[in-house]
Amino acid sequence: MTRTNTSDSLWILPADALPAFLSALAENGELWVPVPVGEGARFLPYREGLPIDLTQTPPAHPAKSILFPHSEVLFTYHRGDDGIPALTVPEFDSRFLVAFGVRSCDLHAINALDAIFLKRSVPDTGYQQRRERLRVIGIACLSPAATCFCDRMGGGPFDTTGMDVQIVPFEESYLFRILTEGGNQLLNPYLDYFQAADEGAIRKIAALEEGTSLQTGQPVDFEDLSQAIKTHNDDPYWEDLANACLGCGICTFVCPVCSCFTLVDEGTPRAGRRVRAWDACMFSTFTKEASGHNPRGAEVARVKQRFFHKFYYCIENEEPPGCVGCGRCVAQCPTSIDIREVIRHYQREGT
Amino acid sequence: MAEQAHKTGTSSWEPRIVAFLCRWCSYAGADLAGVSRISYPPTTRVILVPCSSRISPYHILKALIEGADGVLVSGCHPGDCHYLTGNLLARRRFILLKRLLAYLGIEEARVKFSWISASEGEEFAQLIREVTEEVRAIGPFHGFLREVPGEETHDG
Amino acid sequence: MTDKVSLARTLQEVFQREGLDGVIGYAAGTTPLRPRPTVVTKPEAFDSLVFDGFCVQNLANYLHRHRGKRMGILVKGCDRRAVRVLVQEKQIAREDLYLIGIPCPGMLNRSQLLEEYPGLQGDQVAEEGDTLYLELSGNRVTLSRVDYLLPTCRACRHRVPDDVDLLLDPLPFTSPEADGSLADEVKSIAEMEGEERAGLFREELSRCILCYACRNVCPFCYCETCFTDSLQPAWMTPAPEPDNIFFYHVNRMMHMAGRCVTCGSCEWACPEHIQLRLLYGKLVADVEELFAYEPGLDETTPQPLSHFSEHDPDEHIG
Repeated sequence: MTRTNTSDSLWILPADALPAFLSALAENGELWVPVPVGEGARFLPYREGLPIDLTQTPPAHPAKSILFPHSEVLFTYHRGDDGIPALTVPEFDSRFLVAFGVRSCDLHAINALDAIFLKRSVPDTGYQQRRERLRVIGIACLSPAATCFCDRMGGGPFDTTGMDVQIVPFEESYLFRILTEGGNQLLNPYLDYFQAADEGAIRKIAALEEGTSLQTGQPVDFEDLSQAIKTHNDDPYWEDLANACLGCGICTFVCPVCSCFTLVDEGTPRAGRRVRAWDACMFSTFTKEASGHNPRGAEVARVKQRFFHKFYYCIENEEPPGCVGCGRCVAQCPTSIDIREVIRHYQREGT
Repeated sequence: MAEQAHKTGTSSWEPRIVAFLCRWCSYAGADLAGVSRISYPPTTRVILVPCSSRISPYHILKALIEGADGVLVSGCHPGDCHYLTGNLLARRRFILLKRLLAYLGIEEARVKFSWISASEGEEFAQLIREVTEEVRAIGPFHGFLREVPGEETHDG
Repeated sequence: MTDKVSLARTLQEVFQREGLDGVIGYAAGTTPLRPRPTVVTKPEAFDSLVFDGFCVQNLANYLHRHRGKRMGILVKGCDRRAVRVLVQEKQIAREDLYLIGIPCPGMLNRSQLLEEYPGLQGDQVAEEGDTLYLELSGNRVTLSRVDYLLPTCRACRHRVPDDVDLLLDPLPFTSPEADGSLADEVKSIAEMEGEERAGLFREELSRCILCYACRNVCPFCYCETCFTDSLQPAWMTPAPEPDNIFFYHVNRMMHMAGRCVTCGSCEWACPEHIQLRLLYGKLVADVEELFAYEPGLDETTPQPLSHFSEHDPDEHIG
C-alpha cells in the first residue's frame, strides 16, 4: 500500500470540472468509466453527457469487460462470387485505453487475467493489444461494502497496485495522485483542469486514508487453503452448497477474475462471424461433450469446480488466486452462496 | 419509430418477407396464384412447412433477426387441417405471440397470420399485396431492442 | 421470523414419521435478507430451518433434483401451484411428495428495504402482524408490511396452499388481501403509446446479461437442453446482444404460457433487477382472458397450449 506523502505528484480536480476533463481525455483515446445502468454500475465507453457513478463500491459489474468484453467479434468472413472466402479481423485502436474509476480489487483481478491471457504459451491477441494500451486511473474506496473482503486477499481500500493514477474523492473534489511515469504522461496535457494540492488538502486526505479501514480478517494463506480444499474433494459441505445453487451465471459473470469463454460461429456458408462470449462453469452445458457425456453432470461437481479452480488449481499452477475479495458474487447470488464462507470453512485455525 | 427517417432516401427498398406456408393449403394456394398468372409483389421468400403448427416463435423471431422485414405464417382454415387440429393449436400460440410482441413494442405488421386454402389463389395474391404494403409502411426491420438503425445498444 | 423452534420440531416429526428422504426448506443465508434453500436429510439438522418474509424463492424448482425420492417440501401458495403444474406435466409424482403448507403472508421486497435502509441486516428485521420493525442502532423504525410486499405477492390471489399433507398454523405476520396492482401495472403499460412502451422494454431488457438466473430459478424450466443452448439449430448465441436477449425472453415467455404461477422468483433472482413481472404479468393476464385458464389450480384441465377450442379467438388471423 502506498501511503500519501508529499513526494507524490498530487493534483486536485474540482468535481464540477470532471466532465470537461473526461471529455478532453476521451478525445485522445478510448476511455471507460463506471456508468449507472439500472441499479448497478458497469464500465462503458465514455461519451459526452453519460452519467458516471464513482460511489458504488465496487461497481456491480467488474472492470474485466474493458480488457475481456462479454462478447467480442474475432473475425468476420465473406465468400465472394469467386467462391474464395475472405476473413476480416477487426482493426484495433492504437491509442491509449484509459480505465477510469477502477478499484483495487479489479486491478488485482487484472493481474490474474494477465496470467491467463498473456503468460501462457500463446498470448491472446485481443486481450494483449488492449492490455498494452491500458492506463489506469484507479479510485480509493472510502466506503467499502459489507461484502468487501479485499483486505484478506492481498488488496485494500487504498491499495494502488496496477494504478497509474489514484483518485481520492474528498469534499467537492478529487485528489489525483500520480503514481507512475505512464500516469504522468497521461495527465500532463490536462493539468490546466487541475489545481496543485496544498498542504491542507494533503493532510485531509491522509486523515481520510487513516480513517478508512477494512478489517474483515487475517490475510488468507492460499497455500494452506489450497491444500485444505484439495483434500476435501468428497466433503458433504459441497452438497450443501449444491443443494441451493441454481446453476446460473451470476457469480462468474460478476467475478472480475472468471475468464472462461466459448466460441460461436454465426451466419451462413456465404458470410458470417466468429464471436467469443463469456461462458460460465456453473452452466450445466459448460462441459457437455459432443457425445452427450458430461463430466460435470451433477450440480455438486460444478459448484465444487468453481472453488477448486479459484483456490486450488490457480495456486497449483502458480498463478494468482482466482478471488480478489470484491464480494460481488456474495452480494449477487440469489441463494446466498458465499465464497467467504467457503474460505472460512477450509481455513485452518491460526491462519 | 426511427424508420420514418430511415425510409426517406431508401425509395428503392423493397420489403423482404419470409412466408411459412402449409404444404396442404397456402403453399398450394400460392401455386394456384402462379399457374393462374395472378401477379403479386415479389417480396416473399416462401418456406414450405408441413403444417402451420410446425411454426414456433423460434422460427418467426429468427427470421426477423436474420434479415426479414416481415414474417407471414399461413395455414389451413379452421376445420380443414390435414392433421385435423394442427392449425387450431397453432392459433392459440399465435394469438399469444402476437399480443406479446405488440406489448413489447414490435409493430403489429411485422408478424402476420392467415388462413389460405389451396383453392384461394387470388386471396393469396391479395394477402401478399396487403402484407407487402403494411411492411412497406413501417419500413425496414433493424433488429430487436434497438432505438436507432444500426446502433449497437450493448457494450457488455 | 416465525417460531423457528416449532417449525424445526414439526418438520422433524414429519420427516421421521413419514420416512422421508429429505425435506426442502430454507436455511439462514450469509447475506442480509437472503435465505439459502436447503435439503435436510438428518433429524438433527432441522434446527437450521427458517421461515420469514424473505423466503421468496419457489422451492418446487428443487424437486427435479430429487425425482424418485420421497421428499417433504415447504410450500407457500405459489410453490404449491408450481408443484401441481409439475405433477400435471408428469415431472414428479404427487405420492412421492409430502407437502407442508405455509399460509403465505406475502413476501417482502429485499431490494426496496436495502435501498431505503442501506446495510440492513437480517437480525435487525422483525415481522409482527402487518407490521415490520427495523432495529436500527437503538432506533426502532415501524413500517407497514404491505408497503414492502413484492409486487407479485401483493397481487397474489392464492396465498394459502391447498390440498397439502400438513397445513401449518398461520404465521404471526400477515398482509392484506390481494389487490389488482400487478394487473393495473400491466394495463397501464399496455395503454402506453407504442414507442414509449418499446422504450421501456428496451431499457429493461438491454440490461440483461444472459446469466439465465431467471430460467434456472424457475420450476418450469427443466428442459435438459434449453433452446438457448441448442447448437443444431443454433437459435441464438451467448453474446448479450439485443437480438439474443429479445429472442431469449420472448421464447421463454411463450414456454411459460399456461404454466407461470407468477411466483416472482425470476424477477427476484435477476441481478439486473429487470422487471420481469411486467412480462409474465401480461402473459398470465392474456392466458386468463383468452383461454379462461389460471395455472396450477387443478391437475385435470389440460394446459391451454396443449389444447384448443373451435371457438377460440380468431381476430389475429388476417
